[in-house]
Amino acid sequence: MALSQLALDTEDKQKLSLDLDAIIHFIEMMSQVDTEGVEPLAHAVDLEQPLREDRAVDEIDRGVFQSIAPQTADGFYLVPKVLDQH
Amino acid sequence: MRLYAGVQELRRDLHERKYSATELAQFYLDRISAFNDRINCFITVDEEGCLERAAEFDRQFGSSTNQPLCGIPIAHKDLFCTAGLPTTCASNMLKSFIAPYDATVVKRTSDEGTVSLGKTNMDEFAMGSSNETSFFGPVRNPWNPNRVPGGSSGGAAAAVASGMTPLATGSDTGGSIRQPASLCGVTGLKPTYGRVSRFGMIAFASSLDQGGPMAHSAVDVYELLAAMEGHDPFDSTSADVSKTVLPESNQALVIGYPEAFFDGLDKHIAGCIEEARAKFEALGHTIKLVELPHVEAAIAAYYVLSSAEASTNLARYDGVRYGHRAAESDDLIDMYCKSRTEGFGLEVKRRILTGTYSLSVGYFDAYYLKAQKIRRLVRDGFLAAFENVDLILAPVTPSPAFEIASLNTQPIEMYRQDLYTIPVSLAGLPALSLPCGFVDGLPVGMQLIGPHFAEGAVLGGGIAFQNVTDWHDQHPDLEATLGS
Repeated sequence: MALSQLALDTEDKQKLSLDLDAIIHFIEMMSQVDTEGVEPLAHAVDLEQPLREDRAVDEIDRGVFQSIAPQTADGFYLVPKVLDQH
Repeated sequence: MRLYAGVQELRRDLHERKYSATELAQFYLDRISAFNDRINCFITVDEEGCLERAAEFDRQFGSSTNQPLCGIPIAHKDLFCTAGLPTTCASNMLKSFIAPYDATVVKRTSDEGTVSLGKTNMDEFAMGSSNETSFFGPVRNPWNPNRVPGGSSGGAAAAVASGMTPLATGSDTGGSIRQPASLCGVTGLKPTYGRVSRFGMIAFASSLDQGGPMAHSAVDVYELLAAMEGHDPFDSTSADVSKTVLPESNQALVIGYPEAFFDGLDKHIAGCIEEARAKFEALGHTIKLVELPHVEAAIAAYYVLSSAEASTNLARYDGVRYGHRAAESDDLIDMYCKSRTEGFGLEVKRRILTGTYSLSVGYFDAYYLKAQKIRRLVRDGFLAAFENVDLILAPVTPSPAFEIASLNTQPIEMYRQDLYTIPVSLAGLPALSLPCGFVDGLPVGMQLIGPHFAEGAVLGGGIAFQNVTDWHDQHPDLEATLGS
């Protein structure tokens, strides 16, 4: 739960724990496949990385992007306090 | 104007001034306003923007008709960012999100002249096979409103099937274009991974996600693909390859028939595909049996990989820069947690938890790495088959459209709906889903799968099939089913 930053209520927790048991049981079926000596594959299509010129383009307008934020002040994003003051 | 007209007819009629772009847009807007309350395939209808843009084309017509899709309406799946118009991903998390920029797919199709009608409903964050996980409620199948339209591009498929738009964009991670196209009786293409830019397309599983076109026919799908495809400097995984070209007609092909895909398949669906196979033979193509290994294990591998990628991609929704933020919280971590818990629906949470679990220390090798190894075996199986065949013919779904609420509490059964589409996704291949018959009054489709970047051959096969069949010209009678 900590890794996913989700706080489930009791009802959801019960429902999801049953589901997750079934899902984990289901994905266990992978163990039946012999993968001895097989290299893992991250991307299905072998492509070269297309490169582009390293040139600055001034396209991001902070005001526009911050206009959709829940809370901002003076060009900064506001969040609840992180550290207690001593 | 004719309901269910294709792109070529619309283009010709607009060119001959049989009707204006404004009249055409109004025609589809009227259709949406008559039936969308019962089909629920649009989340946002942009009436004002749509009519303004159509009027602009009417003023310019004659001077700027170089755009191949000039004045032709389109609907975008609600995970493509649209500047100034909500992009919700069908989630409470993004219900008020208005993107500051257009997705490349939106920009390119707009540059080619399309007129956007609005944004289509989908499964939340594209996670689902029935369009029941949408925060904005389920989409209903236009052929039978008690059935699902499929998902996740269920709104797009239902909108095309009910004549509310001639063109729609969708996205496909494990079958999300092909499965709803099949269940709604429309034609849809999942392009090769990298064919279409993902810039501005809200991410689910980045190594699998691919935008693609949906329409009434393979010809129209080709027209829309031509507007969407091509390398994008903003997406380094978009491929720098030449554009899709349709093959010369009457080329004899060798079409693979994967026997493993027909074990346990609904016998009526198998019958439809058998008939299609006979049509291809009558067209002069040769059918050859092929073996594709690990079909079942591919679903398990897909759920590990896609959930792992989803849990990482969805970490960005933290209530700081955009999206839902909980009204009250004790501190920063509490704010993250409450915002995410309130913002995401149950299926999204299920995937995030599956993903974080399979990526966690102690399980990574057994799940994530194992899944990546199976992915290689699945892909190599296809590549080996394509040494002997040009295309592969396969089913899309194990059954026709199922009833709403019949599978939504059984995640594994729901995941199994994508049995025939997932292996293709893991292999990154292009596949066209097109109608090939009816079972119990509901449409069923088939897939034509090709080698990487062989969209031309895949679409050519689909066009040839549709030239000699009329399954794609069958449409639901909404007035009779829903009442006007």
